[in-house]
Amino acid sequence: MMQLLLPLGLLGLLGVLALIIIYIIRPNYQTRHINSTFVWKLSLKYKKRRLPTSKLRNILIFLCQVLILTAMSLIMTQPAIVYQAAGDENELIAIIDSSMSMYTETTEGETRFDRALDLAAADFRNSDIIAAGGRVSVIIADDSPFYYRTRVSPAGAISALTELKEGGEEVYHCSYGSADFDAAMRLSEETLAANPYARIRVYTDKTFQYTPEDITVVPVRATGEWNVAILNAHAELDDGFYQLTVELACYGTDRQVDLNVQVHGANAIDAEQGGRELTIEPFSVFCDGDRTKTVIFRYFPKDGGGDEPQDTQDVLYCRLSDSNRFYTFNSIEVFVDEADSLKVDNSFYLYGGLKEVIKVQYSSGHTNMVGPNPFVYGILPVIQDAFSDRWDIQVTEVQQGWHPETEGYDVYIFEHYMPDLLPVDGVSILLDPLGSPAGSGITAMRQVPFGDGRMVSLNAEMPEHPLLRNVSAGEIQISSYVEVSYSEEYDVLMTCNNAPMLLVRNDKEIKTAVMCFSIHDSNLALQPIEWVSLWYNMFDYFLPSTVVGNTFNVNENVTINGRGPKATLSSEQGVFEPVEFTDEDLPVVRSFDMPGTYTFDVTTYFGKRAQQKIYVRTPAEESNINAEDEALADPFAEQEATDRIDDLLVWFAAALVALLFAEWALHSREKS
Amino acid sequence: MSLNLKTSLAGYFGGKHLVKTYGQTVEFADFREYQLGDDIRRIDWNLFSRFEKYFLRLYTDERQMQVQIFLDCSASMGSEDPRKAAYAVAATAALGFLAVQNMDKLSINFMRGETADDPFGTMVGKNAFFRAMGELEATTFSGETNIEKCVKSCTGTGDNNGLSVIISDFFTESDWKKAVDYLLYKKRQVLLLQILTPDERDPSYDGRVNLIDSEAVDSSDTRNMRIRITRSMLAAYAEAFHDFVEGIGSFCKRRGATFLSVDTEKPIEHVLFGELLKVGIMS
Repeated sequence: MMQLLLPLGLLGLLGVLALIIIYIIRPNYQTRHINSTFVWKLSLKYKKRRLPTSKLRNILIFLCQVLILTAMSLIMTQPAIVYQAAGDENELIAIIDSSMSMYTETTEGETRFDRALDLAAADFRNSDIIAAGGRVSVIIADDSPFYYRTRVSPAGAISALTELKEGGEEVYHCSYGSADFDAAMRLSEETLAANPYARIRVYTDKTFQYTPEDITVVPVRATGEWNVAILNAHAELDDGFYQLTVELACYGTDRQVDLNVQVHGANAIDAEQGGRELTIEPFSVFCDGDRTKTVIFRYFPKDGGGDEPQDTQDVLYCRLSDSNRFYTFNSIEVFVDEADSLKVDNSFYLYGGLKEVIKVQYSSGHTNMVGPNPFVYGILPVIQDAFSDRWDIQVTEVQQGWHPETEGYDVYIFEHYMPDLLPVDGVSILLDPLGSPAGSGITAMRQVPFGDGRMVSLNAEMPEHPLLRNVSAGEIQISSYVEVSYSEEYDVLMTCNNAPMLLVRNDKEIKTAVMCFSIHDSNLALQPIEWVSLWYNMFDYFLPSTVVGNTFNVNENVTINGRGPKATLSSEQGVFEPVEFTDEDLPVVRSFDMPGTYTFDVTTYFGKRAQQKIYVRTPAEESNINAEDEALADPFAEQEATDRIDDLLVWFAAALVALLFAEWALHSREKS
Repeated sequence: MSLNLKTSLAGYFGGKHLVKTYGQTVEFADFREYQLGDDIRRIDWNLFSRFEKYFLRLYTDERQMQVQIFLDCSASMGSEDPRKAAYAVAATAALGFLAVQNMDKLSINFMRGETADDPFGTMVGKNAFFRAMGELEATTFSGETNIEKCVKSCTGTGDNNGLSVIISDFFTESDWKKAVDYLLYKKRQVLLLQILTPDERDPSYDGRVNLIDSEAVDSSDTRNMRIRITRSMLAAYAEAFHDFVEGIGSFCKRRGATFLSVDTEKPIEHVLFGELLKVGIMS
């Protein structure tokens, strides 16, 4: 209902009277002498015939002016719609914690999530909390909180909670991630905007150092709950053998815990070989005070020099024997066999200990050189090291006088003298091509020297290309090059005097890079950044990993790259049916809401089959079933007991402007 | 150039208008067999030598017609806009000159009130015409005119002997159509010449105006009107004006009379040598 905040402004309506008087006294008609009014009298009949009833139109301008004055007067009265602030307190917003820690269960098998649902349902039935006729909204607080029900009756909300508890394939289940309470509170502001007096009840196992006054936290913990958790684990090569680091903790009790480690496929040379099963003697750790204990499984050589680290309160060493040490592994399973209240974090898997082998053949046929090109030969170990977490790069050098192979390798590097036929089962890198391999699409024509020791800088034609990342073409100078003609499948990345210097072709089954100048006739190998970056980029560009990394968090985005015509994703836990991706779909980003092992099987464009496993882990902070957060956010709500006023001044001002325009238009029409 | 009649003319002897009857001119018309009483001087002896029969050569006759001009001298014809009056006088003079030029009889009737004055009488020849023109320029336009009564009251209207021209704006409540019917009854060819000003075709004024009719007696006269001229009003005026002029034209077409509506902005010679030639009044 509109109210006038300043009713005296209505005095402005006196202007309407003034306007009427002005209309009455003003000389309206001008006298005009004409020959005859005969036709004008005739035209009156036509006018009447066309508009039988439009008397109002004759006074449109007057009406418009009256409305203008009225609008002006109303503007002076400050019109507004006043909403009564007496909000409905009989409304509840229930925020249900849906983090992984809510899976903590009692010996009877009741989880905290079930208990939260029961407590919420009980509150909805309690007339002291929500009376009949009230409204209830249910927010599920996981990584991305959402409204499960919005402003429904208590009975409707109870029914929804029952549905949640009973579960089923199509029904939401408690997440294995974290709960974003800040986002949940922001979400609740939507309901608070409609009813600022709605009350919030948070059903959670977390405790908060600060809780806003108008928010009620309903604890859902039960007595006797405790949890032993593998918080993290990682393995790294140290002196040729893997060192395994495991973090674990026990929450809710102090306990002696046996930490078990099983290494599958230990010390295998390649994936086909299989390796052996290695079971490490359980390592006993006393976990107390909710502290995180770090256990390092490491092989210490007998002649290590006596500088072995000592155990501390929180860092313990498990010394591996000669028979237990391992330099490769297929997977490592770390677990504790305890009947605690939260089982999902009792084990941890590590993958990536047996890297996919990338076989590289380097062939340099320069007649003036006794051995291989030292620059190229020197950069390959650097690349081996740079990609050591991804590939096991094995380099084979073709000795002088031997013919290079054209099959059986993943990467072929040919320098100076080219093979007759371009390999079809791997990436080819052609340096200073003095020949034209069949199938390459490249024809070497002639050597072009600049003479007089003159050096010319290169130009980048496609500076945004991944191959030129961190490579400044202008820094590279050459004194001669090989003039080549090339097929249209090639992209020219760098040129010199408009002649192509670096070409790249990345078709599905032909992946080739051609450098049309000799390393010896350029300063490229002397530019540390450009030289290393160029090689790194070539391996990274032509040989992408299916997935970068082996361990991910629940709900973390995982990018699956395309390496071949097909990739299959499957879950060892059978969470979902195997999913196939074609090269049209890839790369694709996915996240996993269930912890466990996921397997990617790919067939590369060169027909090579590869498998990569990742482990999706639970959030370490969720293992602390007695966690305490700092503060619960206070959602914004209009809590003052003052009326809310929607100012209508803008609307009246808009109407006033519109009326002024209308009057102007009417005047214009009358004059025309 | 001369005024022309589309119909047969009884007229008077001595004019220059060829008629369908046979007469004594040199204009050959037809042959006819000799009958007793015929002038033997008209026998065509060449034909007699070929057919051994007597044939007479017949010639067309020429007659003099009466041109009667009725000039509307009401106030609407010029008290407010002298151009209209000047145009009407000029049209009268031009038509009159064409008549006397062709040895026709001319009478100019000033229509005032309910009578048609003929101050110059019947004029034949240029001398009489030029004498009358001096007075014609001093013609005054005032009051109102009843065209019907003026035409009917004119005593010099003959039967089937010429052309009657009514020059007016026809902005009158009187039934001018009866005047036309009367003249047609007298078997005269009738020309209606409507003189209008540009302001009458497309009014240049708008807004709230008090229109004073030039024929109004005083300010309370019902012919005066108070009106708010808007765009729609102007559209209605245009429609009414169009229907009014079209109405005169269609009436004349049905009766076989000729109607011309001219604008004072249009040069008089365009009307004479353009419009009149086009409708066949002049040849």
